[in-house]
Amino acid sequence: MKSRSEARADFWRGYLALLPLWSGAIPAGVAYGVAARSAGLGVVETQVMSLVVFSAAGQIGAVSLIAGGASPLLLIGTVMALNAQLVLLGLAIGRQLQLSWMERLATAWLLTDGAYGVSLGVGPLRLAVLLGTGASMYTGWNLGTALGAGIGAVLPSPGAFGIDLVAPLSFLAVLVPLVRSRPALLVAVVAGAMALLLARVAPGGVAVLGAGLVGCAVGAWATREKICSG
Amino acid sequence: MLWVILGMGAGVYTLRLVGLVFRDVALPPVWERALRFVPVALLTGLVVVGLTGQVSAEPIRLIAVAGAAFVAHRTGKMWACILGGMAVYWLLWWIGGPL
Repeated sequence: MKSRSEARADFWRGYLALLPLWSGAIPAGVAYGVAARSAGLGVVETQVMSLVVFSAAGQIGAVSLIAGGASPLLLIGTVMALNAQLVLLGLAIGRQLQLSWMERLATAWLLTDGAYGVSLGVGPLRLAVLLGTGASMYTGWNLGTALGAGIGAVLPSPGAFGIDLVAPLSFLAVLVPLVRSRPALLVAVVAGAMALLLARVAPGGVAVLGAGLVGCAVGAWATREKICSG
Repeated sequence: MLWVILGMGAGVYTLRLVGLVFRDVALPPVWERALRFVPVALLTGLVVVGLTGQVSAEPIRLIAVAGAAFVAHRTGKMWACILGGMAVYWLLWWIGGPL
């Protein structure tokens, strides 16, 4: 059993280890904040989403759908679908750490793949380090959001200066490094074509979910007997 | 809207918790493989819908996105991708106006 002060030291070690990732988290938070404000969300709504959802892809996705007038169920469904990989992350961590119920509830609040990756870099996975990296990412993301929401408030209309291009561009920035393998490229091409087709006949959210489902099915098929590297 | 946002938060929190709670459950391999492609498939969908959705896809938007994709590929940095794409967009706009 570790002492309290040791755990505190681990927490801060994790917190500081993640600081370089603020260079990504803050601009992403700003991008989200600006996009949210231009989609018509208030400052409080914009910030609350970052406090309770805490997912760059999910939130920027939600905001682009809100701009298109999606229904609440579709919004919640899309945000959850965009974060489906968190289930895998939770499984991975759950298998590495023995956690009490309270610890699980706390860990789940701050769980992101970036924080998990940095925690592994600090040493063998420890709960206090994981909470430290998570809290650090949470701070950076919410600071960025506050900044973006502030900038968004003084910016002119959403379409002006092509500000509405920021959301697709930030997705692109997350997407491009992920497309490293052949199966991943195939998934991107099929999902893109599917989205293009569906966007003509269905609301944006349905097109995104449809592209996601078909893309995943294609990915599972493309990796059927090989080790997948998507 | 605040209730919808809290609903999103509850949904995502549940996803984070599910893995931690059901850590001993093994998913069928086909599901594990499919789940790995969730980010790529959904992000591609979002980029495409974001470009074709609200405004008619102006050629300069597509050129800007192609430039941004190149920058993202070379640098792997989000801010560089966003700034690169916006710089191309603004430059083309300044030269020719929205085409």
